[in-house]
Amino acid sequence: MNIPEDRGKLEQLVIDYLYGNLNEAEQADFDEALAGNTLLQEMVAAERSLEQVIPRGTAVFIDDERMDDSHRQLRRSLQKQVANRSVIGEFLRALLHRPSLVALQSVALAASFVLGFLIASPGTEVESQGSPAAGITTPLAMVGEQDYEIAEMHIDRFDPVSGDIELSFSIASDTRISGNVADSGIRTLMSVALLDEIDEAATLNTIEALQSASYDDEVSASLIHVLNNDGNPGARYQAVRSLIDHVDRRQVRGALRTALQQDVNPGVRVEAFNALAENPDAETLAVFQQRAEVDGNEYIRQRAREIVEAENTGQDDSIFF
Amino acid sequence: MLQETEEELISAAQAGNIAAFERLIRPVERQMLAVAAGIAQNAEDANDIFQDAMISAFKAIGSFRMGSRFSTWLHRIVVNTALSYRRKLKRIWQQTTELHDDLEADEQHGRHAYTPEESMLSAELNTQLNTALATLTERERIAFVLCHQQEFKIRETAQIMDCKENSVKVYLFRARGKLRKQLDPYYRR
Repeated sequence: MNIPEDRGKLEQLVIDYLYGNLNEAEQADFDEALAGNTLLQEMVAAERSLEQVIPRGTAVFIDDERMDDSHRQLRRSLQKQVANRSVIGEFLRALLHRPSLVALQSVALAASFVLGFLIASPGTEVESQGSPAAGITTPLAMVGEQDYEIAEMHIDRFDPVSGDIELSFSIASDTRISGNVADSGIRTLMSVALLDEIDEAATLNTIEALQSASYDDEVSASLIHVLNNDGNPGARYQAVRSLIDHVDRRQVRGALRTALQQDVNPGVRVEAFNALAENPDAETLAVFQQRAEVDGNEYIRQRAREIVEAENTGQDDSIFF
Repeated sequence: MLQETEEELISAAQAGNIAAFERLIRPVERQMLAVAAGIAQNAEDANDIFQDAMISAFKAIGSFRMGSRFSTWLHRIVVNTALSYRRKLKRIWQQTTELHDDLEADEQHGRHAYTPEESMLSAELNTQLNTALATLTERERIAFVLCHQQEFKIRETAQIMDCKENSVKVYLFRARGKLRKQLDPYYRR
């Protein structure tokens, strides 16, 4: 076997040899070359020394208890996943075909219905019909019997004499929808979902998906809601990262200033600060002045001080010029 | 009892059958959790990666093409999930020295690196190995975990990592070099 002179190729050949990636003939050739090549012997010996310390196949050991725990957790997640899949297509198609007619409140209700549970309280009017928007607040009218499940039913009041009864229950109907984030209906749905109690992973994924969508007030409001309210710093961080591209919007600047002042996570504050520092207005400078003194993050304190000082110097200069 | 074939299980899982999906992943789930554990920094992260990857696989199984190797497809999802998980954490941790401090404090108050029971290696070496693995790049670490720890063939590893075989060899060689350097004291014993 010709041993390659090129160092990179030689290294690859040694790896092939060590990891059994040579065929029988190549292996025999290599062994023969090895016997007569001191440099190669040293190289292989050095590599083999690692295997004395970390033999091949020495992986992290997963014991049965840990595997079982993990399996149980996965089963619960999968069941939740499947529960989130049954279809109420007519309802969503109706929603997506007339987004302009749908009031935000109605969509919020609809999204709650689609993504989780709509609690039908005893006073809920489920039979009302009328305008399209009103129709959406009564999704039962648009859903076939086979498309939902009644869960957690309680009899709140029952009069055995008159037969009057009051029930409360949850209607669970989960839906899969395909489309594009550019679609305003889907964007609305996702934006409203962010206002709801969806899980952390779903929040992160939704924000990430919305990042690639065209930006509107609804998306902006939802991201601001996450930034100001979500308990997960990862979600708030994703939200702030999505918002910084729209720092020219007044509402976004306000939200970033709030985050800079109030968020406990320095990562979120740094992102908000950097976005605002691009072109600080008077309100932002006032916040910077305060953060220069009190922020727990040294980077923010120092940069805020520099920006405020530079601004003050600029103003002083303008007196003279 | 009739034994279902992998294809039958895949078809059932594609139709949303959880039990079929569970049976499908059962033979490799321990290995996948071990791969996640090899790439992650601690046991909690490894479990999160495993869970996310399996949910992603369940969601995406409709797009799985029969004829491909299911376990390779699944491992690719685990590796991609691990990479995206690490990047997400890295993004969040960037620029935040305080947060690093918090996390270090967290580790002292409960988050744990792998314990001796979690590894076949000795506790001391295990700790040292985790430190050494942390010096590898993402791709070096994955190549090492797959080829060296899980004994995947270089060709399979290349498929999972979606790169050329030569790239895997380069990652492996570099990883081994760094590990040798880091674990140097153990050679002298």
